[in-house]
Amino acid sequence: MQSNTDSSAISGTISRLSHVDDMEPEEATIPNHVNYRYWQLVQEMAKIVQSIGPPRGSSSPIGRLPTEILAEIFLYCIPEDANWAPAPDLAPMQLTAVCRQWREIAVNMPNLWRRLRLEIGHGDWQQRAFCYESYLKRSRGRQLSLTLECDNNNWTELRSLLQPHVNQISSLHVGLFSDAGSFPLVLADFGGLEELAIYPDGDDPAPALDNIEDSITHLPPNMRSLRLLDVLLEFRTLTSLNSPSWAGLTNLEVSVEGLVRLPRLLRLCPNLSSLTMIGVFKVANETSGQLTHNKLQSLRISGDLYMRSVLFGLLGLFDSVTLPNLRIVEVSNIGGWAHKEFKAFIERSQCPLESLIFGGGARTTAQQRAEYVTLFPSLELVVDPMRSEQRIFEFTIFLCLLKMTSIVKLFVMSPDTRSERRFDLHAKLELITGIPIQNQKILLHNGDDDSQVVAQLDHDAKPLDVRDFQTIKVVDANLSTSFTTGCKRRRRVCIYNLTGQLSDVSQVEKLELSDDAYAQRTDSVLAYKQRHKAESTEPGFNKRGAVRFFGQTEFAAGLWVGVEYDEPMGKNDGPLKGVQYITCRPNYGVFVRPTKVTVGDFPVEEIYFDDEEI
Amino acid sequence: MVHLVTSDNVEFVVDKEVVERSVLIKNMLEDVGETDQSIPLANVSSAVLRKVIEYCEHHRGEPLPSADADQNQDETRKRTTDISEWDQKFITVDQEMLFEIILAANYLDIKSLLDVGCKTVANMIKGKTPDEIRRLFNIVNDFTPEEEAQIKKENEWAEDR
Repeated sequence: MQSNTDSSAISGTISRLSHVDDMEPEEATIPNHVNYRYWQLVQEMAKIVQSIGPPRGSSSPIGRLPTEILAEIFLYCIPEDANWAPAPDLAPMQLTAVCRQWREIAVNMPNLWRRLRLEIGHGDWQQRAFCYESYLKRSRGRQLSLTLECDNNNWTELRSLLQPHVNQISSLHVGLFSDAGSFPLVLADFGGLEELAIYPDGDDPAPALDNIEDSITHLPPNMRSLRLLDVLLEFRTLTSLNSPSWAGLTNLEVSVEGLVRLPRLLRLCPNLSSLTMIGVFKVANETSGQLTHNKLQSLRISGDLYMRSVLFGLLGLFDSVTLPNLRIVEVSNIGGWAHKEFKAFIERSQCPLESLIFGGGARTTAQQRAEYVTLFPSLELVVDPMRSEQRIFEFTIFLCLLKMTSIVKLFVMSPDTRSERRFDLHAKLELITGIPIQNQKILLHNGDDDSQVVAQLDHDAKPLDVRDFQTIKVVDANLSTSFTTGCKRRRRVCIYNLTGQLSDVSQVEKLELSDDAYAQRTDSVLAYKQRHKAESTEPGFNKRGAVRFFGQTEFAAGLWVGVEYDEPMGKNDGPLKGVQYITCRPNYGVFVRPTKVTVGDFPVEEIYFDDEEI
Repeated sequence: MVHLVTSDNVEFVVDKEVVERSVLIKNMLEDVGETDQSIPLANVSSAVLRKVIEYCEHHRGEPLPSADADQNQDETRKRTTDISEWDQKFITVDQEMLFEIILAANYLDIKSLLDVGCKTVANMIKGKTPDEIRRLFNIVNDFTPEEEAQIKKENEWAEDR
């Protein structure tokens, strides 16, 4: 009887306590023994809680954060650099391996899994495909931003991996080697694609695509941004482009032959609001009628370094266009500024110009600039000789290297860095061929097999006019100081060295030692090995490991020894032709004949990796 | 002037313009109208509120982010973890205080302060191994060996080059 009233009084007290945190039980209304019993229970509960241990997460201050805040933090953990490659120590993968709570949050946040850089060509593809697949699945149909890089130019695997997500992909960055050949993807398949950028992979600039026009003629319907700065759009391509799908573009970055292609590009893309254009080489003016483009707001143009030094007021670029909505103009590498032409253009356009930027290689006078400020009192006028897109430089440098042989000094600047770079054809060729600069004799041929010399570069001030598929041959004028190996080919220009002394060993004086004489020496490797009874599975090369199997096998007759190496220098991970003889990590296992194995107590060797091999 | 009372019963008197950086208080004041009554903040201690007010004082007059603009941005915006110099100095506090500030900013609905806090925590996480993260925040590894193996399998790809 008493226990009943006790329990009801206790539950009443507890419910009141849970409403008012700091309120003491009111002694007047609750009998003393009940009060006492209550405190007993509270203390017991505290003991129990203590014995269970803290609830998950509460031991750490971060565990107090509600899920939605953790989720917000997780989004900020995604690397900012658009080009990051996934790694176990980077978000989002990192976040899935901390604790169950974090994993559950991270795996269920599709927005964490929307950006991925896929690299094909190294590592075990099966394993990679598994990882990429589980990564992409977590995006649960959200828009994807992917960066694709393919080292072996074998895009088949990648295409099948992307197949289920093809309509999810809204942004693609594709890195291509200069020998990529043709563009490896069919753009029309990517129904949801809005943004495409093609850039050179590695050091080789300007991938020359055989049939780029096939790929870019039919852009997906939602494409808004196309960036091809490092791919030269040849005039031939440009003229054959007559596609309505370009009409949707609002942002275009291209390199074309000649800045005079501006009207043609504008006509092709009536909805363009931002155009960045590098015009390489000077091309004769195109005769085209007057064009008015109402959408363009931002125009950034750059010539190449040749124009930068030679041209003066010859732009001819603004003569035939009227741009009533132009707000931002940035020019670089165009030499002396075509002031009259530009002034006539802005007066004709009546545009609300807000910002006019003269970057490196665009020369203006103070008087010219004053005139612009008079025309547009609130104009932001910037003269910054250091300002120029680094990529514009890199690209024009490549072309410049082919055009002139003298050293080009440049400043490369980004918000945080400023460095001087010297681009020098000789130095570049030394890196490629290994022939020292002072020994280089540079010859130009029409092809690999053509023995006729088209030009010899003996004067650094003279431009070297190179065309596709010509061959630059670098001859070593002084064989004794060069150390060279092989040659490196580029798709467009082959660079050969004709040193050849390393391939002809007969010219080299050598120390000859007969096997018998070698065996008798006491300071040789052979003697060392005999003294120390070194194990050897292959003559001359020691690999250590543990014997895991010995006996008859089904894959070949005779006795075999299954070895697990200490390092992954083997050929398999255990099973051979469907039979599991040993179990070990991939590439640690090998099967050898008993005669090749020396058994003994050989501890695991310490490995010191060469820095350069990592 | 607005009167605020913290969980530990300390009263703060703050400029209306300053305190209205908190959307919670701003809405409250709009509902209640001008009042001399103090607003109780049961979830915020005086030490934390002092920091929060310091932040609001410094950023007084800056435009408040509108709610819709933020929603739209969320999907597409590039998330940068840059923090202004003053904010960085401001948020250089111990972990305990950092998380208290985040919770307070969340409760009081001060988006920009919440962002600064989240970015700071994100910067602490970036580039660390899961184990380092656990040690940094004193998080218990509660995975079973099987789960660990599965995670390792998922995350192995970057190690095989």
